Amino acid sequence: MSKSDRTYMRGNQAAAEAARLARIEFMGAYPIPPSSEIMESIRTFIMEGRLKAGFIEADGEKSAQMACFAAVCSGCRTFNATSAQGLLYMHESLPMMVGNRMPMVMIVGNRSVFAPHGMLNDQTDSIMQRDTGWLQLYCETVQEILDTVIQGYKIVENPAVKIPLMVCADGYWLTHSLENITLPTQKQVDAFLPPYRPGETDYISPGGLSLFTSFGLMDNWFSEFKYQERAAISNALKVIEEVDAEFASYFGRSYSGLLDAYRTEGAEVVIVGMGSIMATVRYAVDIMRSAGRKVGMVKIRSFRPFPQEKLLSVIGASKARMLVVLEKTHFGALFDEVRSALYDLDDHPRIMGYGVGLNGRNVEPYNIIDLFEQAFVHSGKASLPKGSRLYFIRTKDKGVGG
Amino acid sequence: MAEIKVVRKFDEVVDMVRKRQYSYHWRPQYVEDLAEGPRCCACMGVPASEGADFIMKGYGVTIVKEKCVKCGACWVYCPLGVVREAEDGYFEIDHEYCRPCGICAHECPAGAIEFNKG
Amino acid sequence: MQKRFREIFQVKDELMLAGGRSCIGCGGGILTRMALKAVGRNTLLSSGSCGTNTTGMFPVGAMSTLPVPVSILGGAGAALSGMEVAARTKGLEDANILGILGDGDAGDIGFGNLSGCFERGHKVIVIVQDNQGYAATGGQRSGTTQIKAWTRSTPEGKSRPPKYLPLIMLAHDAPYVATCSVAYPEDIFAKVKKATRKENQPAFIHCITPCPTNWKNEPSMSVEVARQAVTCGIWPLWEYERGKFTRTRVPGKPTPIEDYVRLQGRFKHVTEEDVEEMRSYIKSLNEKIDRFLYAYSENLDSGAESNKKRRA
Repeated sequence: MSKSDRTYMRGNQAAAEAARLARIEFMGAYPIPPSSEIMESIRTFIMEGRLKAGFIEADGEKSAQMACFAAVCSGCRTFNATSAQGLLYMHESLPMMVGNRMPMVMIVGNRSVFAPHGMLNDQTDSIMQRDTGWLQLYCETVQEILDTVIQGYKIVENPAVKIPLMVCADGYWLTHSLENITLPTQKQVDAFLPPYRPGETDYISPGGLSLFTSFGLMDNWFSEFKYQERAAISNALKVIEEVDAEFASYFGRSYSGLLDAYRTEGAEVVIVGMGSIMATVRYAVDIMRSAGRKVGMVKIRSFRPFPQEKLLSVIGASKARMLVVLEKTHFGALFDEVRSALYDLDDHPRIMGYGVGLNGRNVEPYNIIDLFEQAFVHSGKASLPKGSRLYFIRTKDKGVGG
Repeated sequence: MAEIKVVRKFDEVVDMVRKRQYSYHWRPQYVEDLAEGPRCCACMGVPASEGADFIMKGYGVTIVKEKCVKCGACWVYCPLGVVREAEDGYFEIDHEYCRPCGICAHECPAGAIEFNKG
Repeated sequence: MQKRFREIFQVKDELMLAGGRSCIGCGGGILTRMALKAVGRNTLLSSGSCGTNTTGMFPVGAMSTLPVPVSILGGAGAALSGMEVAARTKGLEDANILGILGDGDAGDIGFGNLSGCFERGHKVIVIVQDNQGYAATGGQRSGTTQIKAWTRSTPEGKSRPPKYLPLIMLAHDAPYVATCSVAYPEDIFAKVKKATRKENQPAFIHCITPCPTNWKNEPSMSVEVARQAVTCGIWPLWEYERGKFTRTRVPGKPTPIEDYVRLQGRFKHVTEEDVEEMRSYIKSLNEKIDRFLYAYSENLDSGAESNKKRRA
């Protein structure tokens, strides 16, 4: 393997570098903290000649995404970056990209959604888009952001998939945090990721064929189109795993595909979650295990498509009594997904969910350890009422924090 | 370049957990947060006077009463409205909220405001 | 007390309190304070992105004197329309409905909403706090960014001149359109006072508010920058009131564009050709204003009339 650079980089910079290495051909973006820096960096790369790409400094996120739509239509490898309110503002354009089977990668710098006017990290924004059909991969570290963007283009441009992808990175915790990473060389990335070659029917050109978005489609074929879309999203389950394995063979780093089960063998309590919080959980698991407590964690990398079968097999193998689902939303999306995924497990564990770290509230290893302890107290007992939805929002408590 | 700070050794922490000696305030950092450099201290949400101490140490504006001609320029041009009317029609600055920008000093036609830059 | 400030000084009520979180030397603070003095307490306010900086950060409330429902970016025009109709329904017709929008909100992301609001003719006052960029998100370019200006998303300098919003809103048949500058607060006060008259609404006031953070000027020179913008001609002051057009006269002599450029770090990279381009932009802008307003006004019988009143 050829030498690549070890360097320090923030999440935003890593995302921009990854897009540059992936040789994107177009970016249409509107600035919004925490992800504005990505657009600024790409713009600077273009000015410096390090990247040849078209760029539109759009007048709004809706315009930005529709510009990206047009670029993908024309066969460009396209990139976008937004957060929170911007993502919500372009919500209308998101299902369009999916229904038209248009591959692109978008970074979402996860940030909380108004109201109240918070501007710090939260996963609400991208989780609110879970039904649009976009694939969603959640990153735990800055290195993962960089690698996921590069893997991302390979996933979405696969003919069996052709569904756009959101690479979700926690705002400020990852986008603005400095990390020691390995920056691959252009040559390495070129070897792994060939240029975007859309199929004959996948883009428009003068004189070419292909029809996009037939207007006024009545009932007759709508279901069939949606069926194809769902099939493609299911295909992504396999493709995500394959691309990750291939990436590992080229670069020596792997993210375990759809989910990462850490020390779940023989665990009595398992925490399930996504994003940078899992790095804190990893640390807490190590502490607890070293103190003799049997705990583990499952980091969900691919939220869409949700890895139901894999989660089923991992939890089944661990024989855990209690699952604690952590997420940075206040409505329990991941909690419901996990419960629904484990429905078919004969001897399924009890499941509790917590909304933590809302609007950037720091979740410290101490808080995770406290959650583990709470889980131990409740697991196996009938202390939790049946029939109630065991989802809680952590608020500031005496000496416990949230 | 930035250093990775380790607050406590791993074994130490394990020991604390075994003994149930939790301390709310320890926070081992495995990645260091880098502040881009606040664009302006105000955005960090610190009260103005605290922010001024933090970043603009020693900055200050003072109205020299003897030179003041009571024209009202400082009162009108202050972006925060911290210049208040004092007795006899003179003006005074509320230093609790003044975030010394120096506009009043520049606009004063009599040169009666001193702008110290620490 | 200087004669020009006497009228403002009569208004002792401070609607914009200290404790806001605007940057040091923010021009927007001066604009907001003067505008609020002109409208008074009987006002509902909607503010924009950098405008929310003057309202302070929870739990500090620097604008707790007025009701300020903060809407999403781009929704200001619609929010103002809604407030106006609701106020009428509740019998509060005489309340001022004021919006202090950013240039990005009014000119780019919220332009559609603003256009709709003016097309429907709601009785609102829209003041645009033009810091020529998306200042609140870090200083990326907006439609009204000055030609040749460095921004975070045009690092080589913006190649095209700004979108000229006042004339666009005039084309919506707005009864009152004016431009002003924070260097002349008496002018802001007078113009906003005129805008509070119901026959002058929907009113549109476009004010240049220097942003030291993104224009990279000395914070203490913000007002000087705003002054030179007017005296060098790149920010002409004028007023259109129900068929009558006047250019606002300001004291002092015309100044060269080079002085204006030299004050701001965002023009650090500017070459002699760029300055020449800016000079020709100033010329064409002023000609365009005269031609447009000649078409709209009843008090101009020939181009020569407006030439007499032209500044610089």
